[in-house]
Amino acid sequence: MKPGVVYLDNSASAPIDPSAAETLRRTELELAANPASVHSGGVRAALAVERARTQIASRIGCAADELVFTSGGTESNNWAIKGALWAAAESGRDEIVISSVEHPSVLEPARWLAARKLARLIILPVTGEGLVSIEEARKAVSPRTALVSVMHANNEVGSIQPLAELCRVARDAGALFHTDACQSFLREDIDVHALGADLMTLNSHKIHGPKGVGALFVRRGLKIEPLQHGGGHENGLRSGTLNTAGIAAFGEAVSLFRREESRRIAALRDRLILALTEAFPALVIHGPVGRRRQAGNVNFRIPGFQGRRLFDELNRRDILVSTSSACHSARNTPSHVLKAMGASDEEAHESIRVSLGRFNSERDLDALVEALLEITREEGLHDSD
Amino acid sequence: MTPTDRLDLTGIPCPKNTAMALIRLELLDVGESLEIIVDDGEPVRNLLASFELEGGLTILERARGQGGSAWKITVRKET
Repeated sequence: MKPGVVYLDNSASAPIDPSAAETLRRTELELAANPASVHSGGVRAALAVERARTQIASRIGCAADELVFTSGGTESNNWAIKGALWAAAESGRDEIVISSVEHPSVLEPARWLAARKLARLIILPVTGEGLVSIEEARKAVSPRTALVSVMHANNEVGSIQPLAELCRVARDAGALFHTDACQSFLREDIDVHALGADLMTLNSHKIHGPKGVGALFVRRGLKIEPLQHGGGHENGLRSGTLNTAGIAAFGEAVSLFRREESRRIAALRDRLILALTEAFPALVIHGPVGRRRQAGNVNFRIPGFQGRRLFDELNRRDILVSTSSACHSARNTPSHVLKAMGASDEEAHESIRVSLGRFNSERDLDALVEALLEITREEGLHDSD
Repeated sequence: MTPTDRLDLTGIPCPKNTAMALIRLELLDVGESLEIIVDDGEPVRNLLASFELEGGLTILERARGQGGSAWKITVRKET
């Protein structure tokens, strides 16, 4: 990151930790062999991969062989949705139930399947805080439901879904349960087996690891169809030469993550929410507060002020935030998450997402609040002083 | 002699099986042993070749089992 930049967009991508970057560099140079080769070079590379697999698996309470490496969250989500549906075809189950606040990498494959009449899609509403109602989920599932997919922590507003209850709803209906845990992995305690999930998406670059690597937890014994066919890597589930360096650095990033870090970031988040609401009495926080909110997420709007305008002015001052989620902020359409939570187009366009990470400090929060005060004063929209 | 730990590598392709065995061996103390069940053919050949290359390990037992489709290898960590 350029010196002096205040980076507050960690939910889009958390800057790689120097130690993970060093693992990436060293592994790429020193373990160049294909980890599927059986010579000593291949064994060394495979050892790095399996070490990382063990490290990552231990953090969600699963066995190493239940984790399949992918190219990231988008691939894992696409695979979970399509793979689970295709595998369920034999049993006559053709329905997918997802929430209305899912990441596009869940929404779009589900819509793609539905548009081709390969699945029936049911989209669950959410509350004003972005939470799925268990009652609504229970009403939506049926003996036709193949898969229920609800994300753990929302990438835009940070709402943490009641996963254990939702898993139970899916299980009671005989359906599989998938969750996209990209925004909650390591930040929240996860025991995937205690939870009862069948599939869970993880990725590396949201936890200060490198981009281009992720994983899908596939519960032992569960049969899902592969998305990629080829040389039969990853027990035939995901063909393609493994990204040894990326995987090793993903493992390193995981090993660096401490639970206290989440607590520190959650404290920063709450401090920022307080500072913002004090500075701007009319400011609206989107999503829940406290434990039901992802540690680093603050999503807000200052009524009467376009989010894009704030974004541009902050950007000019080297303070990097997001107007919506990074993956589709370029579309300039109002956030589907905020819309699902009941926001009007205007309110959705006013929203700003700040997401905190390992390298943020109180100084960054002060810089943000100061800059917002300055911008709104210049615009005549803030009348303090 | 009862092994300290056991690891079933049947059905796991090379070289992932070897990597899993080496990781498990790293967790053992010197003098402790690991019993490994590994598929016949390339898997057992590659595993033993890697152990030799690795060094610091003694093969205590190698026996064909499961109707000849797998081997039981017991290895002790020496260093």
